[in-house]
Amino acid sequence: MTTSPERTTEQRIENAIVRALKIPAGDSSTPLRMGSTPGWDSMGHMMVVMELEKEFDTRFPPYVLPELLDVPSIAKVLRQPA
Amino acid sequence: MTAQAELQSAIPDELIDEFLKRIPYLSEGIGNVRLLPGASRVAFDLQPGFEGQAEVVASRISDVAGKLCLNYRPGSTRTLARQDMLAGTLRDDPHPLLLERGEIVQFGRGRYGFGPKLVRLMEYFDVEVRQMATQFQAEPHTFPSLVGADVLDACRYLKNFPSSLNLVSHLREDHAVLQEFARGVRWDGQQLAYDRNAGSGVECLLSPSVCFHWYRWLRDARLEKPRAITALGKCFRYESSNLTGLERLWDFTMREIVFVGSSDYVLQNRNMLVEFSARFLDELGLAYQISTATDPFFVDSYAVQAAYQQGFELKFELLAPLPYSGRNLAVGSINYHQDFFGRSFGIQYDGAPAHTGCIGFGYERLALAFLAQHGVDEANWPAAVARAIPDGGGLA
Repeated sequence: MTTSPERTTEQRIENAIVRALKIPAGDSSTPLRMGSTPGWDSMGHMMVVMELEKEFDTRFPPYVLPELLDVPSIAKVLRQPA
Repeated sequence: MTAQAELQSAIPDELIDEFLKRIPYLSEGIGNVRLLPGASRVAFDLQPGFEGQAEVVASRISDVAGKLCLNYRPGSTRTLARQDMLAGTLRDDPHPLLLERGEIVQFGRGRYGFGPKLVRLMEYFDVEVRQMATQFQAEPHTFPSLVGADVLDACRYLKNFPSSLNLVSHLREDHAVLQEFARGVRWDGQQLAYDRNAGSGVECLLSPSVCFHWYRWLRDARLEKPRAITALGKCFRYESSNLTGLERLWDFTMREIVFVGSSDYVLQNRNMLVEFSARFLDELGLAYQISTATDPFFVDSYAVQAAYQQGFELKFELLAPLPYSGRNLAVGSINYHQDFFGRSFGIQYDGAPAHTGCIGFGYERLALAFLAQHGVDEANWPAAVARAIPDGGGLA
């Protein structure tokens, strides 16, 4: 079985969010989304952003920070050309 | 003695002011701080008695620079409205003339008294801003100058802005303590000399802002309709050696208009506030710009909080240039807090934490910007302002 690059990107995003927000391993009860996931408030958001920047070796410009709301939207931003 | 601090990298232009404002808080003995050409070295003086701290202070300066730059995202300021400097704008610093004519008196660092002409000018501003408030059906309220420590704790102000806090204490209710205080207390030329153990714990602080009172007022409320209020208050922010004339006072007068409700309600009103503020500043004949900005969060969390605030464009500042210094002065700000205060104080609207926003005008700064741009002679003031102020209002 092979894993598509898209799937890998989304997995990496999920893992980065889990690390940033210190979500216990195996806890899949809450959706990964700003405002819904416990701890993903304003401070949590920046923890997520910084963890994503580390994971993908990038720096998001300020205007995209409000777009990084969940795994699909983050993946979409990451796939956009710099 | 003079010493130097080496920074890990050059401070970006946009962060220089923010960086320099923080240095006075690093040591009680520091002064005369200069960012050297290249912006990667800082020279500073240490007062006698603090010479042994040179290395520690240099390391703290480097640390502050590193933390400010840690998550810096360049080019993030957006200007929403702007009026460029008008032709014929004056360049004189109004402070000397105001002092000479007895229109202001300096009582101490950041503490001024104001005479009738300046008071009338600020009253004029307030009439205009209250009129702005009526367009939002904002109900008038009054609040104390003291704010509970519990309130500032609930909204993380204690942790985010520790350097600007003004703690309020009183003497302990103990007859022997009071007797001893009365016997021994004296002014030593710089501060009150007394036994610090005579002081109480801190229950209250001098309020740094007006709107916190309103969020506390609404604690645990379930709002059925959005609310708008307005209030005038004295605000207190300690600024160390950054306290400079009327530009940066220890206590200042601020009128706020505060909104609580849904995100749409607050954001819609925020857009109108930008428009109304621009119109108000136009009527005052001022050059200005309304631009995105960040709060001076404590350095340990500055990078993260400022980046969030910038990214989501939560703060707009009303900046007026001071021709005599070439610098911009924030005469007001428009803030959107998302649901932060709704969550902090348990305020619900439509089944969810309420969103909040506010505008605040600092009247002493607005008066300074007005006098710096128009001069102290009423003949140069916009006719509408000169007409509206009783007894002429000019300072000539």
